[in-house]
Amino acid sequence: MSFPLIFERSRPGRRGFRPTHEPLPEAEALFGAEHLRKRPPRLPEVDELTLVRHYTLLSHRQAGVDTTFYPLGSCTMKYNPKAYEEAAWLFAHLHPYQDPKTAQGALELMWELQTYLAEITGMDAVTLQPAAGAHGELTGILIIRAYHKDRGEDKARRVVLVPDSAHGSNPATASMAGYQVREVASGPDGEVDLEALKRELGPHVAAIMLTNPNTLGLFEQRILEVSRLAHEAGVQLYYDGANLNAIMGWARPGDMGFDVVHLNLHKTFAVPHGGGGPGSGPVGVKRHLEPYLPVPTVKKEGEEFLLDFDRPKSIGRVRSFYGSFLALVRAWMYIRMLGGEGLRQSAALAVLNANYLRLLLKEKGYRIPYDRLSMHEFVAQPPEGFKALDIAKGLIELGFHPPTVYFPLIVKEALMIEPTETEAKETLEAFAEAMGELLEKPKDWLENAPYSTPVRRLDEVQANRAPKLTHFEP
Amino acid sequence: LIQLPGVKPLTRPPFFTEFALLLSKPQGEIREALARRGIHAAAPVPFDPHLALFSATEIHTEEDLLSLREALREVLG
Repeated sequence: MSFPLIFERSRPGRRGFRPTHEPLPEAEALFGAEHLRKRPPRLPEVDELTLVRHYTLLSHRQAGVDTTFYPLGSCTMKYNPKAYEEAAWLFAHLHPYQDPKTAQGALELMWELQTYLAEITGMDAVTLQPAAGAHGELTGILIIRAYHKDRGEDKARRVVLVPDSAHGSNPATASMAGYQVREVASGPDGEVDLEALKRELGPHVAAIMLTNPNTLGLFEQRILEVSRLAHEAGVQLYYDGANLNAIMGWARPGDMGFDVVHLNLHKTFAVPHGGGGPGSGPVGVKRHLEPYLPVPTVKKEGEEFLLDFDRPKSIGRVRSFYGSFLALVRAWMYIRMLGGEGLRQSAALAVLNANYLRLLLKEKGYRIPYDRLSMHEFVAQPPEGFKALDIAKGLIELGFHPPTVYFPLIVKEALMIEPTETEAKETLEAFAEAMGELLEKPKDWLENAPYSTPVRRLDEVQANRAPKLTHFEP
Repeated sequence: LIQLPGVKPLTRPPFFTEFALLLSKPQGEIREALARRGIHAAAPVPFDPHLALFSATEIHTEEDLLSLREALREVLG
């Protein structure tokens, strides 16, 4: 279904609302003729109605949590309450360069959020600066690198260990920070294989990056042993917070022995993702790593909140200003509105929803490779002969956003499903019905789905190899 | 603003919507004093504590600009 670009709707001289304004100063006198452009910018010329229809129709060509069940595994696509948007607007007229004495409310909110996140994760200090999850990872690993350097061990410790079920961003982060990456195999139960870990550990290792629960949705039950082995070898333990939603209020990474955590406020703390973002990836550390946190940190002296730039061991700034501030406001709202008990309950409901859906899908004929009580997500496989990709595309036709597919890599034809706590029982049941219905569809129907979407099945290979990123005037 | 005692331009025109000025007092002190007078201006510029960034947008009236000048005159005086 073709949908013209706004430039293709443009007609010379066509205009919408014409604002009245004071006579403009002469640009030539202000800037000098040599700085003025020779031709006006090529902007679309449309009437107001065309403009409104164009963008209204574009806004309808979307799938999001507000329109669709969105069980994208490891992404925690929970509902983002609208009250938080109102709260964010209250801060919209602040400027990051204004005198901190005139922005005490904003700094107090940041300081409180740091305190709450430290409590939730069992950490001693938190920076709110990183812009998203992978950025938080990089910040955390740079902190670990600075720590080893301070101890004179940076030359020896050149390796970061990641399990084979890890998020792809973990090895990418370690590599970006200049480390070599070594993979640690999972055991038959889907958890880190301790014997494999022991073989890899040593004075050449800087850190282990782990997610708990892991990407199979399974709690690493031997985490205390992993932590003991790591620390005995002088290795720092890094917690990828992508899956914190499963354990929030029930277990704390700090108590498990993790030295660094990052959180995804746009997952666990109900801040919008992606286009509704930006994201936010705060990092928490134990006391021995606090000196290396990015500058500035927010601190409280007496009754005053300050930006502290005087931190000689800091890894420096990792982002402009103080992080994605309006995301911080939304996360603060989430924590304050739910309270401690509410946070615990949301994690419990996330786990309950995942396990209910796991059992429903099993009844429908889906295979569950690690079939035990899962945490907030689980991995399923379609029956023999079906492709995960076809199931995903068929789901779109039936009105559901697909789960994550082909991840984690250690499960063939993986469907990684995370319903979150904000979905009703009826929605989970409707989704399971649709999943069952797909297995009854003729093969060629599945292979060609979807049918009624703005674009049909895309050629993903061509999209990667020969992407068309530029629009030329016809 | 550059007609005020204690204010020197850092760069010559042309510029767009913002410009740096060299002030006879530290930027932090000026920013705080202006804020107390209800004006948010004099943003920090790296490397020199006496440099401050000013800007105007289309929503500022001539009265706004003149009141900034008077406030800056007072706090530098």
